[in-house]
Amino acid sequence: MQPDVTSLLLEAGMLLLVGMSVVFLFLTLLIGAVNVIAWASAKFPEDTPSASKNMHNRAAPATSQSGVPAPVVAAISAAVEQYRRQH
Amino acid sequence: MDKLTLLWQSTSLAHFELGQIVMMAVGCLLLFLAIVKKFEPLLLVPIGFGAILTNIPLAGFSEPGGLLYYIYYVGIETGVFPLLIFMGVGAMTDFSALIANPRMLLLGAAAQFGIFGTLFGAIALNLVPGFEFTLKDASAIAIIGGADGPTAIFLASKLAPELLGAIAVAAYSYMALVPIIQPPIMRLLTTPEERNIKMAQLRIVSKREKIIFPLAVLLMTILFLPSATPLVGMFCLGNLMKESGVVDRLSNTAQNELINIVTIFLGLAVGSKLSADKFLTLETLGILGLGAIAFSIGTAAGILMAKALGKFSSEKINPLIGAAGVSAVPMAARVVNKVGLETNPHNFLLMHAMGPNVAGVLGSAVAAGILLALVG
Repeated sequence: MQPDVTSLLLEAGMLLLVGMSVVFLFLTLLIGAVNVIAWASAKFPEDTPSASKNMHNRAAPATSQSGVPAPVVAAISAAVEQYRRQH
Repeated sequence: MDKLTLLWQSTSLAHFELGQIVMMAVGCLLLFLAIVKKFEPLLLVPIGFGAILTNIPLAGFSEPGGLLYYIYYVGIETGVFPLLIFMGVGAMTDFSALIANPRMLLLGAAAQFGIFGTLFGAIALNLVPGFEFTLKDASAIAIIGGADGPTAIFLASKLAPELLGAIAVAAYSYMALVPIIQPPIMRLLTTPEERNIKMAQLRIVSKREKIIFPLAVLLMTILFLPSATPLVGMFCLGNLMKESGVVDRLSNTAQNELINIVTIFLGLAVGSKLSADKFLTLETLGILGLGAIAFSIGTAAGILMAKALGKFSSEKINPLIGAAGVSAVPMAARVVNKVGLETNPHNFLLMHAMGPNVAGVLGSAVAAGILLALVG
């Protein structure tokens, strides 16, 4: 029983090391992939008329598409969120 | 007289065993938690009711020919139900917070330490007389730390079907207890100054990025971890249906009607595994204990990783958001927001916490894939 547990523990330890390394490696690669996607998206902006209009709006970070300033939108959504949690 | 004996023999009263009565009480407890305490009611109602049905003497719900037997056989033994649920979860998930700040993936990865640390703990528990977990059992138990119901059920049905009832109940109970388990750990590991850190507003993510993202995740899973493709594949399908915007009908079905239907059956099937001989064991106590440890370790690992990341990063990172790395979407992110607001009522962390939160879903699916590949 005892040596059996020791070998199982060793195996579990190996799983711990291998598992965590693979999770980190995989998600780090994914970070790279997301960065590539973001870079490519910025490099080749969407050229449909509606999309370029969106891009124009995005260039002005202070206002959202509906013309309401972003901080106001953030404050309202936060208040709504808080209200929903309380009621 | 003969007829009377016959009649008596056909009632449940003559056949009740103590174990069945205890398990019916457990079923009622789950119903109580769901209805009165509002703990994950969507799942605990069918699970609790399933537990009552399966323990009725003479009715044979869980024997070949019985309703619950077939529901379990069709949906869980094959792995179909958890995967359909995962598709619905994918259709409900918005990755924009993660795409805007991809480094949050590291927090989702760190929180998976809860899974692998608990695997070690489950094996160590074998030193206590009465526990005999194999590596497969231990892996299935450890996945509770992924804080992801469908993933836990999927893995448990593949690795340790006899422990499935206890594992599913533990996973969903602890997900409901996230607002109680996490805050003390979060306060313990962070200083008020750290909790006060405000993070830069996230950039707006274009639709095209959101469409390409699930495809990129799928491609990487195909290349590096094919054993995780059932989970990740269905998740990405759901997400692509949502983000592509061309199949709103399918996306709506996946995140409403389909997921609701499957949830009813999944709950009943899990409940059918709550029979006295499988549940009333020392192992169940061990599983419940290990599940709580798994959640705590995952939370702590996420916070510590967020601290480390903040040290090396040019942008400020509030370490609280690391706690959201243990999926449990969106509960964990809400808890982060709440603890953040306690320190500074103007510091809203919800959107920032959604990044590690959805990263945690991917992380636990990846961890499940690794366990399937190495242990299964």
